[in-house]
Amino acid sequence: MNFFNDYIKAFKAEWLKLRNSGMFWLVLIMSAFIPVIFTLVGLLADEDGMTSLNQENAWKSLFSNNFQGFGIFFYPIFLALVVIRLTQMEHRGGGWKLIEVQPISKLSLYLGKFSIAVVVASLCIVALMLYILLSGTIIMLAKPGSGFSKFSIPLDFVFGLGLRLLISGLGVLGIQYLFSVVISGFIGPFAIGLVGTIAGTMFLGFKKLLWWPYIAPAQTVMNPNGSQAGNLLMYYEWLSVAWMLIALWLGYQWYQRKTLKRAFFKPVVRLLYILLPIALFAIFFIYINKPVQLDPHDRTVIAGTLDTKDKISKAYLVAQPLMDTVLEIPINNNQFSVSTDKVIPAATYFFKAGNIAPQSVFFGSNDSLFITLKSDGRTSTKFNVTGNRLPENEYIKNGGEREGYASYYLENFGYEMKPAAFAKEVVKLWKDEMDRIDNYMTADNLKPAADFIALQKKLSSLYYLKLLDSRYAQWHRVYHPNEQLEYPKSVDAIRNAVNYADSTLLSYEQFRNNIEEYYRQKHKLSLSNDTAYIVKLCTVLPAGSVRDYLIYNKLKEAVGRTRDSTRREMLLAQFLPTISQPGVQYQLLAQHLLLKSLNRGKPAPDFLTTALNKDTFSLENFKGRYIIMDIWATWCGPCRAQSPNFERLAEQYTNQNVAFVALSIDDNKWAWQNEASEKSFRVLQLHSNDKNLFGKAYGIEYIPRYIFIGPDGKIINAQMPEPGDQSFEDILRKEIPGLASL
Amino acid sequence: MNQSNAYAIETSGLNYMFRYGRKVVNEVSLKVPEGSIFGFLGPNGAGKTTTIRLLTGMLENDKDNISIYGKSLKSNIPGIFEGMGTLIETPSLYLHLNARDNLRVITRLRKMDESRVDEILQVVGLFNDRKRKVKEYSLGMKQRLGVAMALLPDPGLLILDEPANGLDPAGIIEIREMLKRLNREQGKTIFVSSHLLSEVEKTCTHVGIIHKGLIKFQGSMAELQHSAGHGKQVTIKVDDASKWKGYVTEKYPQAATTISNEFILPVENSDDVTNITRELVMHGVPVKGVRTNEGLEEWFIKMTSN
Repeated sequence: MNFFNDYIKAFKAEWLKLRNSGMFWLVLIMSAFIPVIFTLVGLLADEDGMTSLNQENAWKSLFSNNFQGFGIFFYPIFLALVVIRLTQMEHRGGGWKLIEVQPISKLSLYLGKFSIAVVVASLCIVALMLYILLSGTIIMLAKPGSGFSKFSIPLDFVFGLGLRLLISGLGVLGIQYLFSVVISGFIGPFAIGLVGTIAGTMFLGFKKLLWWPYIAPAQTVMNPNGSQAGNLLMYYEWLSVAWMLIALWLGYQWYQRKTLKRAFFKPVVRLLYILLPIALFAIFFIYINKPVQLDPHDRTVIAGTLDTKDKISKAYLVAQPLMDTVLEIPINNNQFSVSTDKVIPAATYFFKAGNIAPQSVFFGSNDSLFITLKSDGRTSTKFNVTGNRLPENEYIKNGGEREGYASYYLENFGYEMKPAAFAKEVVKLWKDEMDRIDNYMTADNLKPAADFIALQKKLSSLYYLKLLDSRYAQWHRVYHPNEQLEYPKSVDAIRNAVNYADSTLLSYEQFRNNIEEYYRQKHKLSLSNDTAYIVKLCTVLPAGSVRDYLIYNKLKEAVGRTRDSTRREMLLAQFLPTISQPGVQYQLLAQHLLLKSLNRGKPAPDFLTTALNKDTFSLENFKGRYIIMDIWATWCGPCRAQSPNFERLAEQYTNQNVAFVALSIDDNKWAWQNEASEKSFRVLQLHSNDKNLFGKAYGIEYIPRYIFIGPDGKIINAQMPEPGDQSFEDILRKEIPGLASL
Repeated sequence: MNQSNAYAIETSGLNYMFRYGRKVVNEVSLKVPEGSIFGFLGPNGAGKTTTIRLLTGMLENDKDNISIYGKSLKSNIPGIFEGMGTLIETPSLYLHLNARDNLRVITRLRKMDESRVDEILQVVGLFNDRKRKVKEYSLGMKQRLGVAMALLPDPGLLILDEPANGLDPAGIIEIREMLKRLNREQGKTIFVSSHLLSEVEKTCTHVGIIHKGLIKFQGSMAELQHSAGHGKQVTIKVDDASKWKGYVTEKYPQAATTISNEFILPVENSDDVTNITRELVMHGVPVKGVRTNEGLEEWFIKMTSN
C-alpha cells in the first residue's frame, strides 16, 4: 500500500511538471501532421480516388491510411522526444537531486515519470483520432460524393487499432526511457531513437529482424485488422510489452545505483540482477518469435457467410482439373456450415458460388475453415479464409511471389551461360526459394502445416526443373546439336525434390502444364497427330491418374474439334478404355453426348445477353430469323483472326431474315465494350450475361465456335466450320433460301 | 540553544574516493548535536560538498556508518527524508516552472498542504516574483528559492551547502538571521557548510573544520576560541618598521615584522595590549594604528595551509 501511495504522489508531481513543458504542443502538432496531408489529398483528389472502387468503408480506409502514415516513422520519433523532454527537465535543473531527497521511493518516482510518458502517448493517439475525424468531416462536406456519408465510423476498429498502436509503442518507450535516464544529454538518446527507427524501417523492408522493437508500431499499423487467428494481440505487440519490462527493469537498476558498475557488477551477486531477467526475457522472446503451426481439427468442417448482390442457395467445392464436385454446400440466409466424413485429400480446390468467379481454397480432411465471400457483382470480390488452414490460404493468395530479376534473366538469357554455370545459378535460386517457403509465415506468426510446405516445395521445384530440362535443354539442342547435355551433380537435389509421376500434384496448374511439356520432350511426342500421341502415351506411361489426365486433355480437344458425331464415337470407343478413372471417362462421354444433343433439329438452348446499348436479347428476339453466332472473347487470338471473315459474310448476307451475331463470353465487360464498339455494325454485338450457363448449354470447350440456328429456334449446326473456310459460306447458302441468289 | 546529548548527525569513519585518486573524504567522524547550528568549514575542494552528498544518500556508500537522529541512513532511505530539508550545491530547480510550482512539486511529493508555499515565499522574499519562470531568475533569487525548497517541509534537520552563495551582503545577513531565528525559536538543527570563517563565527554554535578530506577540528565555538585563542595578537602600525625593529624585537622577542610597516605581537589579554601600546608610545615610537584579533583567522589559515 505504501508503494501505491508513493506512486500516486509521484504521478501527481509529474503531472504538475508538464506545465509550460511544451509537451501538449508537441502532441498537438505531431499528431496533426499526417491528417493535414491526407485532408489536402482528399480535397484535391477526385471523388472516387480516395475511397477506391472496392466499396470499402471510407472511414475505415481513412483511419487506416492515416494511422499507417503516422505509425511507421512519426510515432517512434515522437515517443523518443516525449521521453527526452521528461528526463531533460530533471537533468538540466539538477532535478534528480531534488526529488531524490524527498521521502518517496525511487521506484515510484521512476515509474511515475514513465507513466506520464505512456499517458502522453495515449493523448497523442486520441488527438490523432480526433484529427482524422475532423479530416473526414471536412472531406465529406467538401466532396459529397466521396463516400463518407454512406458509411458509419467503425468505432471498435478505430479503438482497437488505437489501443494496439499504444501497446506496440511500449517497447520503444521503455528503451528510450532507459537511455534518457542514464544519459544526461539530449543528443545521445535522440540519436539512439532516430537510428533505431531508421534501422527499423530498413529491417521491415527486408523482412529481417522483425523482432526489432522500433518497428512494432509499423507492424501494427500495417495490419490494422489485427489478428486473423483470433488472438487478442499480435505477437509483436506482446513482444513490445516484454521489451518494455526488461528495459524498465535494467533502467531502474542503473538509475537506483547510479553507475553501471554498482548496478550490475559490484558486488558480484548483482550480476544476477542483470542475468536472470535477461534470461527470462530471452525465453519469452524465443517462445513468442517461434512460428506457430496450427493443429488439425477432429472434424472436417466448412462454414462461412456470403455477402453478394444476388441470392445464392448453394455453393460447391470443386476439384481441379476436372471440376468435379467434392462437396455440396447448401446456403441458408447467406450462411453455411457443412461437416462431412468424406475423405478429402488436402489440396487446393475451387469454391464456387453462383456466378462469382471461383476462389482458390486449400482444404482437406480434419480441417475446419471459416470462409467469408463478398462480391458486388462487378469486379470486386473479397474472399477470406480463417481456421486451421489460415496460413496456407494466405500463402495461396499472396505468398507465391518469385524473386524478380534473377529468374527473368535465366529464363530469357540463360543460353549465354555454360551448362555448369547455368545449373549452379538455378540450384542457388532453387535453394533460396526452398528456404523462403520453409520460412513463410503470416503477420500473426502462423506457419503453414508440414504437408502444405512439402507440397509447395514440390510445385516450386517444377519451375526450376523446367528451366533445366525444357528451356535450357531446348537452347542446347539448337546451339549445340551434337553435344550431350550434362549437368553437375548438384542438380540432383532438385530432381529428387519432385517427381513427374506424382499424381497428388495433378490439382495444380503448374504441375499439369509442366508434365505435358515434360513428357512431350522426353518421349518426343508429336502434337499434331492425336492418335499417335495417345498410343505412344499408353506405351510409355503406366495406367494411372497422370496418364489419364494427359489422355483426357488430348481427347477433349479432339472430341471438341470433331464435328461428325460418328467420328467422335469412334474416337471415344478407341481411347476411352485407356483411361482408368471412370469419372474422367464420364466427363468425355458427357461432352460427346452434349454435342450430340445439339444435333440438327434439336431446340436451341435459350440464352440471355446484353447489347452495347444495354438492351437485352434472348432467343425469343430472333424468332423468325436465321441466327449465325460467332462465340468469341477479346483475349482469344484465333477468334479475332477469324473475325474479319465473319464480318465480310455479315456485310454480304445480312437482311431482315438473317442476323449475324457476335456473342462475347468475356469476364471483363468493359474490355468487350471497348472492342465491340469498334466493330462493323452489320454484326450485332452481344455480351453473355452468364457465360458459364451458356458454355455448358452449348458444350463450348474451345472458342471460336460458330453456331447456326434456324428461324424456328431449332439448331441447324452447332459446330460450324470457321468462316474463313469456304464450307461455312456453302452451308449458309445451302440452308437459307434466297441467299444463293445474292 | 537547546542542546541534548543526542546527535542529529553522526558519522564514524566516513570515506569516499573518486575513481583511483586520493580520498576526498578521509575517516570523517562527525558529531552534530541536536539543536545546534553546526558550521562545516573548509577551503574550496576540502571535501565539504562530498561529505554532504554522503549525508543525504546522494553518493553510494557501501558502509552503514551514517546515522540521522540515531537511525541508520542507509537502511531508512527514503523515509528518513521526512524530517530533513536539504540544499546541495546549486539548487535543483525546474527551470520551466515558476517558483510557486517548483514548491508545489514538493508539496505533492510530500503530500503537504499547499498553503505553506506562499508563506515560505514570503520568508525568503520571493513572494512578488512567485509567478515568474525560474529560468528568468538571477543567481541570488535561485539561491533563495533553493533555501525555500529546503525549508518548505518544516524539517527538524536542515542540511545546507553554502546557502549564502551568490547573495549580496544584505541577503547574507538575512539568511544568517533567519537561520539563527529558526534555531532559537523552533529548535531546528542546522548543518551548514561554508568557506567563510567570518560567517561561521557569527552564525554557528558548533564548528567542524575539514581540510583535504581530514577533520582538523570539531567542537563548540567556545572550544574553538580556546584552541585558537592562544593565538590572540595585536598588530601595531608604525611609520617605518625597520627603524624600530631593533628596539621592538629586543623588548618583545616574539614580535614579527610585516612589510606593511607593522609589528605583530602575541598577547594574553586586552591589558597586555594597553601595556605594549603605552610602552611604545612612551619610547617615542610613532604609533599609527592598533588592531587586535582573536587569531582565529591566522590559526585557521595555518591549519589549512599544508
